[in-house]
Amino acid sequence: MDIVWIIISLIFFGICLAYVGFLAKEGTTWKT
Amino acid sequence: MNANGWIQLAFFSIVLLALTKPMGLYLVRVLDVNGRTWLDPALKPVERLIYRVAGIDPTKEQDWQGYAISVLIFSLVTLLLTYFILRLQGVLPLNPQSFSGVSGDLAFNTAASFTTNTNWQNYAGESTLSYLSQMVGLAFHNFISAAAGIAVAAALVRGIARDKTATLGNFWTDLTRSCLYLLLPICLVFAVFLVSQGMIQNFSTYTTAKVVEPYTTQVVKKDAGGQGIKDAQGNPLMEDVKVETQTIPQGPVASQVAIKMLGTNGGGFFNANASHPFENPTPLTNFIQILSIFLIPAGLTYYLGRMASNQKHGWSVWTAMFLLFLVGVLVCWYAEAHGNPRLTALGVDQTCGNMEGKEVRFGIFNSSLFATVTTDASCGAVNSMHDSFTPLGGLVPMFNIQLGEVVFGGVGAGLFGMLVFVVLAIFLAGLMVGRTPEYLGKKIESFDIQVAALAILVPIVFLLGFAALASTTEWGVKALNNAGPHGFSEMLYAFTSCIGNNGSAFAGLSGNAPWYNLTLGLATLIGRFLLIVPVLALAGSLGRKKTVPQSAGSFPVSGPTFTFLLIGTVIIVGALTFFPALSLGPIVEHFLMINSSKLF
Repeated sequence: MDIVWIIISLIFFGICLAYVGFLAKEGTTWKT
Repeated sequence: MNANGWIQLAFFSIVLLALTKPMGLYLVRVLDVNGRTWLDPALKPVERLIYRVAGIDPTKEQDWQGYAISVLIFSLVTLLLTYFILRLQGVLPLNPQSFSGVSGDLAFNTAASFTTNTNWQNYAGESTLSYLSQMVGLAFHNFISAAAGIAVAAALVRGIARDKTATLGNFWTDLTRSCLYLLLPICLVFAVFLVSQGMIQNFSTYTTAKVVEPYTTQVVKKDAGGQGIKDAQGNPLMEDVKVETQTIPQGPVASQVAIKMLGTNGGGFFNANASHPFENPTPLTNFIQILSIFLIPAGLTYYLGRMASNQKHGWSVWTAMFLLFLVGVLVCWYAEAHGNPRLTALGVDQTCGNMEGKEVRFGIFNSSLFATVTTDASCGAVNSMHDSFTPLGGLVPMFNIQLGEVVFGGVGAGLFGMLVFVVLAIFLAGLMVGRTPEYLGKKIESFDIQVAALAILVPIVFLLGFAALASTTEWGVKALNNAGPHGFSEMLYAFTSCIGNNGSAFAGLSGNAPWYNLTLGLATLIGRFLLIVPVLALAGSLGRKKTVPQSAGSFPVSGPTFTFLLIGTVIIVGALTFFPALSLGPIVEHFLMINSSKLF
C-alpha cells in the first residue's frame, strides 16, 4: 500500500510544479 | 467577563505590542544573507558548513519560479522522509513502548499535515508514536515548515520592496538562517524555561501509578491473539475490568512544545495538547505559550514596514490584525462566559460560564484567549476542547481559520496571506475611486489580481468541496460523534482546519479512517502549496515592476482608512464565502440552543 501514498504525494507535487509553469506562462502573457 | 480577564487581555496586548519591534528588527537581520546578529560568533561557522555540505551558494538568488520549485521539492522530500519514519518506527530506536509502525493512510495524513505546518492529528501521540517519530519525524517539521513559511513571506516582502528585480532571494539561505538564528536559539531558551516550570523532558518508559479511587469499567473481551471477541449477533463481547492503576506517559515534551508554539505548528505531544499538565503546567507557561504564537507573526509586520521603507504601513497591518483579534477574543469570551442555557435548565451551575471541555486551571478567559489566538494564527494547539464551546464561542475559532488565518497568522503564512488581501483591498479602492491601483509605488495589474484571486479562492473551493463530499457520503457521516448542526460543524471545522493549515479540531470527529486520512491530508497540502505558488508568482510580478514615486494621488497604505478597508476586505471575503456553511452549523445550533430544548 505504501506505493499508493507515495504516488499520491508525487502526483500532488507534480501538479504544483505544473501550476508554477502555468503561472509563469500566464505572467509572461500578461506582460506582453 | 471579569476584571481578571480584562487585566490579562490588556497585559497580553501590551506585551505583544512591546515585542513587535525588537522581533521585527531581529528578523531584518536574520532574513538578510549578510545580516549580522549577536549569535554570529557561534553560528556563522555552522551556517557556512551547512552551505558547503549542501552545495548552496548563499549569494546566488532565485527568481520566483526557482524559489517555488525549491519549496516544493524540499517539502516533497521531507514529507516522504517523515512518511517512512512513521511506517518504520517499530524497527527504529527510541521506542521504549514498542509501538508498531503507523498505518499507511495515517502516515500519509500525518506526514502531509506536519510538512504543511498544519499538525492535524488523527492519532493520540502518547499511544501511537515513538520518541524518534515525535522528534525526527514531527518536531523536525515543526522547525522547517515554520522556516519555509518565513522564507516565503520574506520573498514576497522583497518583491514588494525591491525595484525592477527578477530575483527574490535564496530559499535555501532563508530556510537555513530562519532555523539557525531565529527558531533554534529561541526554542532552546523556551524549552529550558518550560522545564523550569515542571514540563517533562526525558526518554523514559511510561510510568505506572495507583489510582486514588479504583473503579470498574467495561472493555471488549479479547482472545489469545488479542482480537476482539464478538457474540452471535456480531456485537463486541464486553467484560468488566477493575482499574486500579494508571499509565503516565513520558517523553521529550518541552523541546517539542517550544517549537510547536513558536512555529505556530500546534501538534501536541499528548492527545490533550496544551490542557495536559505535562504540556502546560502553570499559568505562566500558558501565558508565554499563547504569546509565543503571535511573537514572530507580529514581528513580521514590523519587518514588512522596515523593508518597504514605510513603517507606518507595517503598523497599519499590525493594527488591522490586532483589531480582528480583539473582536474575536471578546465574542468568544462573551459567549463562553454566559454559558449554555440548556445546561442551566438541567441544573448545572453556570455561574463560572461554560466550563464543559475546559481545564479548570485555565478557566473561561484563558481558554477563550488561547482558542482565539491559536486559530488567528495557524497554530492549532488547544488548552480546551473547541467541540465543547457554545455554538457562538465555537464559531469564532472556525471563522478565524476561514478568514485565511491572516490575523497575525502562521509564521510567514499569516503575513503573506494578509498581503494578498492588501493587494485585493487596494484593487477594490482603485475601482471605487477610478484610479489605477498602486501599492507602495507598484502598479497593481491584471496578473497580480489574477494570482491574488487564485491564492484566495482555490483553497476555499477545495474546503467547501471536501466538506460537501464528506456530508453526503457514508464514510463522511459515519465518523461523526454528534448529530444535527453540531455534527456538521465538526465536519466543516475539520476541513477548515486542514485547508487553513491550523490543525485544531472539533474533537467529535473520528478522522482516523482511510477516506478522512486521504481527504484531510490532501486538504493540508492544497491549503499550503496552492497558496504558496500564486503568492510567489505575485512576489515575482511585483518585483519586476518599477517603483514609481508616490504622489498625492497614490492610495495611502497607512492610517485608519487603509486599516479599516483592509479589515473590511478580509471580513467581507470570509463572510460572503462561509456564511451559508456557518448558517448550517454553529448559527442554527445557537438558535436551537436558545429557542428550543435541543442540545447537541
